[in-house]
Amino acid sequence: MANKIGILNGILLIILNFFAVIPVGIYFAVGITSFTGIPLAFAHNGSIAVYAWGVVDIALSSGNWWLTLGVAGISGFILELLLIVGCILTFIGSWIQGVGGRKLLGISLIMEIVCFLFITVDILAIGTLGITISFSQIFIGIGIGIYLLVIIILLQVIAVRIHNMVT
Amino acid sequence: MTEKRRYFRILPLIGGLLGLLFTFMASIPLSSSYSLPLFVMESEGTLFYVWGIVDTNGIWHGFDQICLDNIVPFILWVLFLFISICGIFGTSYNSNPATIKKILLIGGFSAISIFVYFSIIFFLNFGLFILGFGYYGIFLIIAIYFLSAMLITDYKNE
Repeated sequence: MANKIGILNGILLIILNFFAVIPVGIYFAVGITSFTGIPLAFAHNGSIAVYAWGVVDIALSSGNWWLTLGVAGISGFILELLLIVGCILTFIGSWIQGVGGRKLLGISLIMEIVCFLFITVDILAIGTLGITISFSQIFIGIGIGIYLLVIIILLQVIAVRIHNMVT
Repeated sequence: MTEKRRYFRILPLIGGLLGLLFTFMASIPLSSSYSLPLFVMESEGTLFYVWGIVDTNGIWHGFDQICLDNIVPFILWVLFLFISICGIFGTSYNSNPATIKKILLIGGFSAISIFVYFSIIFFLNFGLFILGFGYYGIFLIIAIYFLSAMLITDYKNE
């Protein structure tokens, strides 16, 4: 039987990797629209917001995928790649019972922790992702994406612990 | 005699999907001209949903940023999402029945806490608010969760 927490985690990783907002208050008018949404930015400073998939400048109404930024987006692309591979490993690991599945979930957990550490250190000190925020503005500058990543890491720990070892 | 196989429980699935509707949607379209609004309460044209507030001018107040002003509604929304996920997890037929029953009861009691929260707001401001389908929907979810938790023993004895 599949690891349900692992599958839930995989879905959350897909949302974090490919979505800008989680739409809430959805209604049907001329198409599907929503009143509001939960933005999944890792951090924002001024008009610039950093997501797992790229950078958005709200003032210019423009968004860029990491690779379209050229050399400046390489570190962000590696981060995105790590999260996508982690997502795939989570899904595969959830379906495989026994030690193999647990190993895959464990590797995915390590990838997520590396991503989290990389994002926090980069945003607070280095700035290769495009923005830096000072320690005094940490709670204003950090977005919901970081909180979601923390939830994903915690869920992944639970998924590894409860993984079915009977083959 | 062939054994009747079950793959999932239908009642928690209905409860979970209903919960997801209230968590993410503003209305359900029933026909081309009418849609069923899912607000919990209404006061002078202002609609209170599980996910936020919509003013008479169509202005919404959601969770663009987590700050002290919207921390209680945000926790409420996350709790409602948790309730919906409990329902989806409760559909699993082949899992340990005791665990599934526990998950459904946790979901049911969490739904009761949200129901009590909205009831307190309603009765403290009696006459100011009109109850919407969302309020009765939460009650329906509570009933579905407790009914499905009760029925789990019946499944086991089959």
